[in-house]
Amino acid sequence: MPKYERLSPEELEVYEEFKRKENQKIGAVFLVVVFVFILTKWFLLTRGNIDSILLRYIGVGAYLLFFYFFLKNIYRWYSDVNYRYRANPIKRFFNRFYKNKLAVFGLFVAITIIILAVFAPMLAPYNVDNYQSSWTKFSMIPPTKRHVFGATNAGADLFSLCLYGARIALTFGIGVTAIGVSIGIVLGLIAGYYGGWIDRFLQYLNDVVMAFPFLVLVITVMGALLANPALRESVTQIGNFLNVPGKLFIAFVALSLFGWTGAYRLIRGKVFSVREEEYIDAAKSLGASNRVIMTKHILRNSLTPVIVQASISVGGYIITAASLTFLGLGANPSIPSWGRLLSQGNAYVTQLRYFHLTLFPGLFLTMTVLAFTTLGDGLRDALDPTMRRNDQ
Amino acid sequence: MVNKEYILKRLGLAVLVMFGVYTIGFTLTFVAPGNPAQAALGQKANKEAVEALEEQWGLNEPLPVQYKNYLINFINLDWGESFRYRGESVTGILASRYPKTMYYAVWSLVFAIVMSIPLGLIAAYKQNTWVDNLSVLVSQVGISIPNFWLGMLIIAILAVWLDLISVVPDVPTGSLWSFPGFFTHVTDYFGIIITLGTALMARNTRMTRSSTLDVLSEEYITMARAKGLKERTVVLKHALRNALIPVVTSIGFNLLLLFGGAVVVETVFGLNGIGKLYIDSIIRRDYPIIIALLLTYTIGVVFVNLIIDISYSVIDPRVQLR
Amino acid sequence: MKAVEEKKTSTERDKKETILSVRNLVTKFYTEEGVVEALEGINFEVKKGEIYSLVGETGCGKSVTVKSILGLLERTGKVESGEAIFYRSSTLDRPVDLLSIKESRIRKIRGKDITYIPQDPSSSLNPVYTIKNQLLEIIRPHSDISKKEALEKAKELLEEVDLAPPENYLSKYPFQLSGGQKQRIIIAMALATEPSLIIADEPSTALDVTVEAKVLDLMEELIASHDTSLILITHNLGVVAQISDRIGIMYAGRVIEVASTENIFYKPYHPYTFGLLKSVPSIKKREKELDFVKGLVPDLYDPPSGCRFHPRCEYQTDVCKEKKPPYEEVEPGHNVACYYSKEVKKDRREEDL
Ligand SMILES: Nc1ncnc2c1ncn2[C@@H]1O[C@H](COP(=O)(O)OP(=O)(O)O)[C@@H](O)[C@H]1O
Ligand SMILES: [Mg+2]
Repeated sequence: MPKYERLSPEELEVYEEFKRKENQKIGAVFLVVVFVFILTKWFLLTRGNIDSILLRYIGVGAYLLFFYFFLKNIYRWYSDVNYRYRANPIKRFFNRFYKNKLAVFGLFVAITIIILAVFAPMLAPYNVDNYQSSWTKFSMIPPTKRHVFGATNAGADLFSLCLYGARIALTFGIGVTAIGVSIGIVLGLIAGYYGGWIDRFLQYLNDVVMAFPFLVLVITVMGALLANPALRESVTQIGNFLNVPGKLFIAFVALSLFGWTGAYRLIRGKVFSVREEEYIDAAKSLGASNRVIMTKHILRNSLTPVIVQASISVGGYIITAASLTFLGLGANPSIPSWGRLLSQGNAYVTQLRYFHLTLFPGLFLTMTVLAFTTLGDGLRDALDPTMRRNDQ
Repeated sequence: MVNKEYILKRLGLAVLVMFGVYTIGFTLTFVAPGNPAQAALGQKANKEAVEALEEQWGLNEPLPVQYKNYLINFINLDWGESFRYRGESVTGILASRYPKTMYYAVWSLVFAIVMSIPLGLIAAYKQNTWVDNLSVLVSQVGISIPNFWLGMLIIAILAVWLDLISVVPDVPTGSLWSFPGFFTHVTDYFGIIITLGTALMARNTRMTRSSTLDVLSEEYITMARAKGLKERTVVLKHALRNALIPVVTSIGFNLLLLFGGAVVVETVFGLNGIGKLYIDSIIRRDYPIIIALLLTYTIGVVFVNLIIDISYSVIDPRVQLR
Repeated sequence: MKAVEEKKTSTERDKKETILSVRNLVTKFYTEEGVVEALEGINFEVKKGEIYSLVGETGCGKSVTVKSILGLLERTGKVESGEAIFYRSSTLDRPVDLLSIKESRIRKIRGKDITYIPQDPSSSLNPVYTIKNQLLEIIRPHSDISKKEALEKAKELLEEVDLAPPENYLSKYPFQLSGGQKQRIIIAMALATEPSLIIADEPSTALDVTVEAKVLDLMEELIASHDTSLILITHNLGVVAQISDRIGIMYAGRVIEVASTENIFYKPYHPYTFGLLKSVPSIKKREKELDFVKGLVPDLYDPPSGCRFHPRCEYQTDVCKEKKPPYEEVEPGHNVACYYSKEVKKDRREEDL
């Protein structure tokens, strides 16, 4: 256990110098990564995807190296020496966070998946536009050098599809969380401020929603939206307006409709507890300006639990979305998604030579969810070690 | 400890929630005119026949009347016939599906509890050792792994590759709930029991661990040690019972997870339980079944929660049911 | 030469009566945020039949001292060095060092020869078991008596702590009792095994003033009638003035002055004690707490060098910053850890306490 002491000015000088050098190292690694990316891309263009495998490995290696330096340096910057970090909440946060190996792993995987999703068109070695076409000679080939994950029953490259699948998964996970948290905050504030029957009604709604398993609720809504031509049309129209394929948008709406309960309960509880606090006594009459002050106060104080909860729920929504697609209710078949790949895999699950179709999309899915779960857990432990784990 | 007034109040609340569930269920099914009569008779059926069927099913009435009728019929236990399986009563269909799902749900719960409580307890007691790290890893992975993928892995590995279990167990539902059958059929449903139970196990492990950690830092644990009690007594008598309180409270929530899980996992395992029935009914717009499933399920959850509340006051004397 | 001999015999006589002797106890906590040097060499002894009070500001390490001696430290705490010799073990005939014996041995002493009255009665009883259950739990394992006899004993104890009729209390759960009642039950537990030493960690702080006085009177009475010794811990000097035989003053992880109650109040040698007394207008004013000497209690993550009191001390010089002052006898039975005890003595005369 190191004992942290204040540094003398000379030591501080040395430390600053050291920090500068480390920064330069990061910069250098970053440049190398960019260079390798460009090189890879160039090779892909000039050679038509041929022999790019080696470069792909170089790209991955450079990325890992970059990440390693990046993490190591953030850790150095924020957790080490200089002042005793106990007094500094940011340093304290980083120190706690970095001690949690699972959380660092989660951060790494989450960032990686986000990068893969954003740059999927550049990173994917094969085109996936026609991945639904019929049986070809590439159909269901096991992993090879060219097709590292093998191919689907339509002969499309599974690795490319998995990369594209990350896009839809993250859209759902992050998008639904964002909408759910926003709705939850608004409803929580309303319930807390107005109290009375509005609060009772929202509480009742919350109870009813909580009485269902989330997936069941979403399936029921999806069923209704898909069965009713008028409803389906109008939702699809909005989807088209937003440039999102219809069925996908319906799933998105169905999930978002019920994703608010967590944030709602948090904020509502906070409003009530703040109202109890004495210094707000004057504001209890809740004039308009008081309410603004109070809202600021509440939001600032609930930031931590909301962030933590959001991070954990991203994983949950990704699973729900994948389950929907797996059941044939979620994203349109034309959009590459892990749930869809897995439902294809499920058709061949009793044939071991086609196991790759089950294994790889599932690994992507599980790793992504695991990343957000562990990240959320790590954030919670690091942000507020005393925060109770109400593991629901 | 248990007083009648409390139970009545709880039941009143439960009825309110059920009413909400019914309303949501009704809105989401009946408001969407999927035209089940046409679907039941086929696209080629003539208009008169479709209308006749609609009249038989009461679909031609205005919605508020349908809303009322359905509720009254439900309370009178007259649940009608399935839209999809013509001529079969809803009661009969539910009676053939529920025992199966209940069977593996119960075993999943048993599996989850038997695994999670010792693991969570030991992990907390030996905080920051390898047991603890293992428990954290197990619970994080268990929470994150999608149950349908886990089911596929179990089928591919345990059933197909190692040939340890059968892929699709074919067991008459009657024998599941008979005396030796209840225990002997566990092997038949091993795959789905583990698949459904893993998420629960993970959650409960995490919860047991964190509540035990809280309890172990309580002053009365120090006091128990100061009395010169053996470590075993300190942990098993003084810590465990207090640590179990949140775990017991969450059993109702566990059932929720099980039902949600069954919807997907039964599809993977090709089992005709209520999960698969629900999905099929949603896709085929089989209204009577959807409503009946939603309501029976809610009654079950409410009932279980009530029992848990009552037994909870046995574990924790501070809880006086009021 | 003669003086030395005399001193020797006097220490021998002391030893005979001593039942617990703590020497150079050093305890540290290894937390995520650094090392807490909670105790930096505790020295004191407790004699047979006496009430020894350990007084100090909140956070100075009183509880840690107790927990170190009884082996009840949290996982992060570690006793680095020192010894705590206990002379009255009923299972072993020889003196034992509580800090180095095996866990199984100390378990036989804890709850039997040395009992513990914790700081907060409300959280020290297990909420899910009845009083009877928790009383029998300490009576039975430490003596070979039948359940019936144990129950009789439990009733006797409850009557002794003024909880009558005992039947009313035995079947109750802790949440059904008031703070004072719970504290009495804990005192009953502490007396149950006829221990030779009871350690009470702020037994009355959590109670309100009238109950506090009653509980302390009761304890004084019981200590006398059961012929045991008591280590009484408090942050309130006024509270212990009347009942303790000797007092040890603690500051930031160290006992800085030990003397008879009289000497502490009328002949203090340490600037800290002196400062405390100067600011107490009257000993009778019981509510006065020890937080009035200028400055703050030091942060034990990063304690001051040398004498930990020096930043707040008006006598401080360079030597105080560099080296920890030794713990020395200034008068027979009066020990102080300060380089400037003589100056304090002089000033004290002038001020005429
Ligand atoms: N578990 C612990 N971890 C870290 N520091 C501790 C722990 N317990 C006590 N300490 C520190 O030890 C010092 C003494 O605490 P304590 O003995 O409880 O004080 P008191 O004299 O009020 O009983 C305090 O500064 C406290 O911060
Ligand atoms: Mg204390």
